[in-house]
This record gives sequence, structure tokens and C-alpha cells, in this order.
Amino acid sequence: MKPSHVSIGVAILAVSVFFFAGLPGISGDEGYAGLSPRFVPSLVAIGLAVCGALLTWQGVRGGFRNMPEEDAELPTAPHNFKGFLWVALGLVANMALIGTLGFVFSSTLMMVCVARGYGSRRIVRDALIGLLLTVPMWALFEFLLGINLPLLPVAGF
Amino acid sequence: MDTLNQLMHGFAVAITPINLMWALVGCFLGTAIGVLPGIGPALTVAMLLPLTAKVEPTAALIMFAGIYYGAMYGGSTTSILMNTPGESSTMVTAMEGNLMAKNGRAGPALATAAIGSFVAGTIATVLLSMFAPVAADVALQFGPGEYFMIMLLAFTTVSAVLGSSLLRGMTSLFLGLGIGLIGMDSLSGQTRYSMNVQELYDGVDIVVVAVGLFAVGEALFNAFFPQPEGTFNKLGSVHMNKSDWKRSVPAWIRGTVIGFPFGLIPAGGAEIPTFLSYATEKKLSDHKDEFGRVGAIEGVAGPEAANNAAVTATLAPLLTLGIPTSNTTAILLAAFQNYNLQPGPMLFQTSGDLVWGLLASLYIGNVMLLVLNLPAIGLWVRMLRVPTPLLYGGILIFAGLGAYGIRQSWFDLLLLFVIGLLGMAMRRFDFPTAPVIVGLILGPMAEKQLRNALSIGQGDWSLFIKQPISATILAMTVGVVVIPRVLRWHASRTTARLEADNAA
Repeated sequence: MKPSHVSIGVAILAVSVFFFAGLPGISGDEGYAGLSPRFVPSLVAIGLAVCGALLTWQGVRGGFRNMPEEDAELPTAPHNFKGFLWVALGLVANMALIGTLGFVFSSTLMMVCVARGYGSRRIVRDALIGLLLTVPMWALFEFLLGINLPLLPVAGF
Repeated sequence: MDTLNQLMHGFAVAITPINLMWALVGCFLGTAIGVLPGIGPALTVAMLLPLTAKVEPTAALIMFAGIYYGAMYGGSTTSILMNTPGESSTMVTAMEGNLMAKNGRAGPALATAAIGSFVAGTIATVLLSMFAPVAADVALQFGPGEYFMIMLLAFTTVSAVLGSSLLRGMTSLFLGLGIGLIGMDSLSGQTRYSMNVQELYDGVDIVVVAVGLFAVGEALFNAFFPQPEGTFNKLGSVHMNKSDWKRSVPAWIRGTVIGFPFGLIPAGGAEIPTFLSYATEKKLSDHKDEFGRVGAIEGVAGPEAANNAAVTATLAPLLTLGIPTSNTTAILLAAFQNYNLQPGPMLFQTSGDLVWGLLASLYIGNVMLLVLNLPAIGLWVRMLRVPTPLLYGGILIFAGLGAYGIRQSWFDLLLLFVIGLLGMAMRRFDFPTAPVIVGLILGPMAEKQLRNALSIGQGDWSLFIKQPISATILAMTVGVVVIPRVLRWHASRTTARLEADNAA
């Protein structure tokens, strides 16, 4: 019994429940289409339910079949949870701040966080590299491609 | 010959200075990014999609073709010089190429990879140019029923043939189909599964999913499970001696012949032909003892050629039928759709210039890559030494830009993060990602074709079996799933019987 595998199976079952739950919200009228708009969603929900059930069963019975050899070592391999958190923080910060700080600064902040997650403590270097990457890209989008990426939205420009 | 005429016309389109420049940009970018460990062609094309919003379609697609090829070249360079391959289809190159490099023969390995890719790519492009119009003509007879059947075949092969587990492949496929369901249903006009979130009314963009699964998923995974730094091999001069040439040329031809058919069929991926080519070269070689010890040059030449031929051939189902059979072709399809172009037989009729210009620039791209790669190898080698923290930081910056550039919405960045977590879980538990991408982009198309087919047939499901073409494709689909399993079961029974006989 491999708890991590079982939880994956359960997660897939949960996704399948989500698709079943959404079915009543779809009008079942076929119209000219020949098939109800509920048909494919039902198929997907059933497919996910079957897969989720089988995955859970495999997880209970000793784990997924035909896993690559490296999988056996993964649970005991060195974990770097803090590194992962730094990267996740960088992504979330970018998402939260891009609207107020703009792409250049928000992504540079993300660069520093991600680099930290990979072990780099050279904040200034990382920030400079971040700017070196983001400023030309901002310029490219703004001037050459005409896609509007505000430089510092909170300040109004 | 009409094909020759059209090809010449295509060259006229491709050789304009602007399009040549875009081809060069594509080849350069593709190689540079393909060299970086952890980034494959699908991710490169996905990240660069927003760039094309304002660029003219022919030029943009020419650039993408250049990126596609360039990334394959770059990946081989990494496989030979570094001990951690960039992607699975270059895994075989890594096997012999690494050994050669460790024995001081990195130069000839790189040379045979580059020249072999050029030879295979050129031959494959010739075959493609001959084959594509014929296939397009046949495809003109396809109705919605036939298209649905082909898509069903593509779904089956991408989830059942690749990867180690049918169950995990199917799960990935259903996940992709599910994500594709979110948003507006084209035939009834209602939104499905949007949970009243306005940003989901148009569905989830494939760029967000692709970049999330590949880039963000990898970045999160590698942060959590730190990989040891790859070791580098020294590079001498990039030259092949006479014996190298003698051994490489037949390997290139054999590799091309093996690789091309695999790329054509919706079997997805270039792993099978590269392994087949490796096995063939090993069996036919006069220098068997070098394999697995000091590195045999045929073990690099053959698989590289097979890889390149297969990659070129995967453009065939995309251009002639509009069916993507791999991650990268799925993203290329998205690129076409961004311009409201639907690849397929109609495209040959309505935008012949674009299609033939694209084909012609494939030839040009092959030449450019050969010219670019051998002298510029020092530059690519330097790129390999990018420190890992900066590499992943840079990747995520471009990932974020790609996602945010679609409609400047923070919600896409949220989706990117969530899908990145999904990608990390998939990587951890060996769920293939190609079925998600193919399911996402083909799912809505397949549903439309299915509903159209049934609407025309007035609800009669047996039409799929009654019409000859769709019945044949259905049989192929069943065969693809059933036959390997039957063969394997038979083989295991034979070995069991042999063992029992021996023990008795």
C-alpha cells in the first residue's frame, strides 16, 4: 500500500466528481447538434471515475504498475521543501503583484525568489539578471509588438 | 509536375529577406533554448507564441519551424556534452554520444549528429513535400465522421502507445479533455464548467497549460528534488575522419528510413524510432564492441537521423489533416489557430502560399542549422554553463510573460501556478504530459466533429462502421491497443513454456 499513490487515485476521483457535479448546469438540449452538450462531459466524468478507481485500487495493492526505476528512490531522495516554497512564493508574488508593480519589477522579484529556491544567495546579482531579462522583453512587447505591459501601474504609467 | 511548381513558388516566398531573417531568428532561438537543459521544443514554441501576435502568419510559422528544428539540434548538443539529456528523444544520442565524449571524441559525435540531422531532415522534407499534397487530396474526401475517427486514433496512440502505463496515459488524456471542456461550447453557445468565473468563459489557453506543465512543473519539481549538477565533457575539434564518414553515412540513411514512417502515423513521439535505429545500428555494426564502451559513432548517427526524420514527418498529419500527434505539433496547431488558420486540406487550397512557403523554409532551416551549429558550437557550449538558479529563474520569467501576455490577466498566472503544481505531481508519479496537451486541443475539435457527424447522420451511430474509411481507421485504433498486448502476452507465454521445458 503506497499512501502517496492512493491519494493520487482519490484526487482523480475528486476531479471526476467535479465533472459530474457540473452536469446539471449544462442544458441537455440537443438542438441541431445531434448530441447533447452533456455527452462528452459525461464521458470525461465516467472516464476519470474509472481511472481514479483503478489508480486507487493499484495504490492500495502496492503501488502503480510499471513505474520507472528512479521512482523507488524518490521518497528517500533529498527533499528540499524550503527550496520548493521559495519557488512557489516567487510565482505567487508575481501573480499578486504584476498588476500593481508591473511585469518588470514583479518578475524580477520572482527571479530573486526562484534563484533563492535553487540555493543562490546573491540577491543583487539575481535581481540584476532579472532586470536584464525583463527590461528588453518589456521594451520588445511595448514598442515592437504593441502589447501593453505597463511599467509601473501603481504609479499610473 | 504540379508539386514541383508549387514548391518553387514556396521557395520564392521563403527566400524573401524578411522570411529568411525570421527563419534565422527561429533557428538561432531554437538552438539557444534547446541547448538549455530542461527546455524542449514544445516549451520553447509555447513561450514564444505571444511574440507572434503582431507578426505576419507566414513569417511567424517559418520562425516556429526554425525553432522546432533548432531545439532538436540544441538538445543533441546537450546530450553529447552533458550527462543529463534535455529530452527523451535525445536519450539514445546521450548513450553513445556521452561515451564518445568521455573518450575525447565529442567533436565527431557532434559533427555526425549535426550532419546526420541535416541529411535526414532534407530527405524527410523532400518526402514530406511529395506526400503532403497527396494526403491532402485524400483528406478532402474526409467527412466529420472520418475526422472524428482519426482524432480517436490520435487519442488512443498518444495515451496507449507512449509511456509505461495505459492507465496513467488514459488518466492524463481525460484530464486534458476535461480542461478542454471548460469554456464556451461552440455548438450550443453555453459555457460549461466555468463556475461563474468570468476569466474561464473562454476556456483555459493551451499556452498556459503547456508552459505550466513543462516549465513551471519542472521548476517546482527540480526545486523539491534537487538534481545533482551535470558533469561536462571536453570538446575538441568538430571534425570527422574518413572512417567516421564511412560509418555514419549508411547509418544516416537507415535512420531516416526508420524515422520517417513513425513520424507520419499518429503514434506520437520520436522515442520509438530512435531506439529502433540504435538497435539496428548495433546489430549491423562491424564495431559492436565499441557500443556501450567507448561509444560507436553509428549509435549517434542513426538515432539522430531517425529523430530528425520523425520530427519532420510529424508535420505531415498536422499540415494535411490538422491533427497534432505530439506536444510540439499541438502547440504549432495553437499557433495556426491564433491566426484563425485551420491546417488541413483546405489550407492547401486557400493558403497554398503559406503552406508551401513553410515547406520551403524547412529546407532552408536545415541548411541554416548546419551552417549555424558547427562553427557556433563554442557559443552553445557556453550556454550549458548557465548556473541552475538563474536558468530556472529565467525560464519562469519567460513562462510568466508567455502566460500574462495572452490577455494581461493575473488569473492566467494563477492558472499557471496551479497547473504547475499539477505538472509537478505528474512528473513525480510518472503520468505522461503529452496526452493532456493533445486532449486539450483535440478534445473540443473531436467533440465538434462527432456532433456534426451524428447530426448529419441523424443520430445513427452505426455510420462509423458503415463508411469504409472510418471503419478502417477504427480497426487501426483497436489494433494499436490490442496487438502489442496480445504480442506481449504471447511472448510471455512462450518464455514461460520454454522455462518449464528446460526445468523438466
